[in-house]
Amino acid sequence: MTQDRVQPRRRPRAWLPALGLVVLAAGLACAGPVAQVLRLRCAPIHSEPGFEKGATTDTAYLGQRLEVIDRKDDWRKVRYETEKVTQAEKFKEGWIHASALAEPQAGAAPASQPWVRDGAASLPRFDGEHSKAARHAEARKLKLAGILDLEQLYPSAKDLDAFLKEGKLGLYRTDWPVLAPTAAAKASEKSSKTEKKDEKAPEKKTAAPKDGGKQEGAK
Amino acid sequence: MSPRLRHAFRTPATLALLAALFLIGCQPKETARSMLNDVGTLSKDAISATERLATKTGESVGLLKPQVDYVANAWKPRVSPGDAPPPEALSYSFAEEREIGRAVAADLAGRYGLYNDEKLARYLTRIAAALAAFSERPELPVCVGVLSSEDVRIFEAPGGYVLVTIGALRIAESESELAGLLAAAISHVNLRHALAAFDRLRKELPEGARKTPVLELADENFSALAGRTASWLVKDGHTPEQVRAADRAATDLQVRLGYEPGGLRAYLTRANLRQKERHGTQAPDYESFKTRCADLDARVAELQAPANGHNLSVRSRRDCTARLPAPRSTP
Repeated sequence: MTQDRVQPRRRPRAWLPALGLVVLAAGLACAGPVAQVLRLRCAPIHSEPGFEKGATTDTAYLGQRLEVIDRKDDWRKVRYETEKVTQAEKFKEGWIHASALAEPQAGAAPASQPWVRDGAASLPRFDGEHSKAARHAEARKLKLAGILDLEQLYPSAKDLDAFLKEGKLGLYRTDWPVLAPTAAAKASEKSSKTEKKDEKAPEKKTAAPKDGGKQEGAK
Repeated sequence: MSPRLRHAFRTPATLALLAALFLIGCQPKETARSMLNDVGTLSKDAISATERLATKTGESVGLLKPQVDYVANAWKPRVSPGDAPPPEALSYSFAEEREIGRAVAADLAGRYGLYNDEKLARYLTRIAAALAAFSERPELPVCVGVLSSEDVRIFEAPGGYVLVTIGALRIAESESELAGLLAAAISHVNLRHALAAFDRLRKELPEGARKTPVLELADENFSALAGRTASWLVKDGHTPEQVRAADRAATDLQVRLGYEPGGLRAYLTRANLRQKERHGTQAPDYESFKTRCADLDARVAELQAPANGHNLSVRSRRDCTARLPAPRSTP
């Protein structure tokens, strides 16, 4: 024989959604930056979210680890480690296009940079008179020095980056922007016009435009 | 404290609310801002996902033209048999390849003479190094020299030595054309065509010398091989398949780097026109020129790379054309 117990009436669990909210709030508050890696050979890091905005501040390389700390449309604000020693300069931030990023694969070692050599310093050492090429040149009465001089002209990674930046090359883009003059180009055009005017009328010469001054300073 | 209030403090809902207030109260500004950011991020993600879904649906239905990632296309590994380096050429170490290249380049420089302009050579080396960095052999230390000749020639020795004549540089009117020319030479180096020629010539050596490692070869044998490889390059012994493979790889390189994809095509057309102007007739290898142009067009169409007009003609005029010597007057 079973005794039918009268179950006490349960209160509606009103606290459950509130607890959920709390957990969600706590989770969101504790959520840190998302680590991603660069999936391209290299990609520029911009100061502003946009190809035409701001300046290119740095270059990220294949496999480099970048922490996404903010996002705006297709752009991600990333924090990355630099080679600087001081803590203040150790981490830098910038904007990078989302298409350049990928989830890091477990166990995958970061790939090396495409050009980590610094100039001709790390090229295979030429063993001078004992080399085959030297003896061939000697036998044929050729001057090998010209070719060895050419080897010394190999650019450093910094030079190559500057060269690519100057020509706007090596950027990953699904489509190239219209080659309309950008704000910087317009400013430089204006400055060149003012310079021309100044040349025509030297007595009315005024202070050099800001952009021109900056460029000169940079050079 | 009234019993009602005491009861209210006991309920889990109130406790949860208090906990939430405590959490928010710890870092009021940062927490609120990060929460807002996260909500914004989530909503943006949702919007972008919806956009992607709509785009894909539109593309599948045919309402939208699908976007082609032609840069990614240019990074896909090539599959044609002529596009792979010859297996016999792969048996050389980098040091051996470099040593052979030095000797061949010195031989070529001895035949034509080097034009000494450091800034010009540096500029060309930078273009070549950038192209090589985006190629299948990014570790290749390319160096470019200029030969004192009005012939329109470019030579690539193993190990990344590229020698281009003044005549060939005169024809290029923009950096994308120069890049096309250099990219073709770098592709020949990457595909080890000259090294394969060296290896073929080495097989003609006597039995004993054939099996000796390159760096241990007798001087006269090595010298003869280097000289004959240079002669092979001067004679332009490349097979049509090798030229085709190098042209295709050169187009890929140009697209990867962002140059005008038709740079090499433009250069070849201009070189052909110059030949016609100078000699009044088409070049004897006009048929091969037409085939090359058709192949280049086909590769650009295959990649679906649109013309981008990124020529950098101003930089090439400043750093290359302006540095060339005045042309010799023709008799």
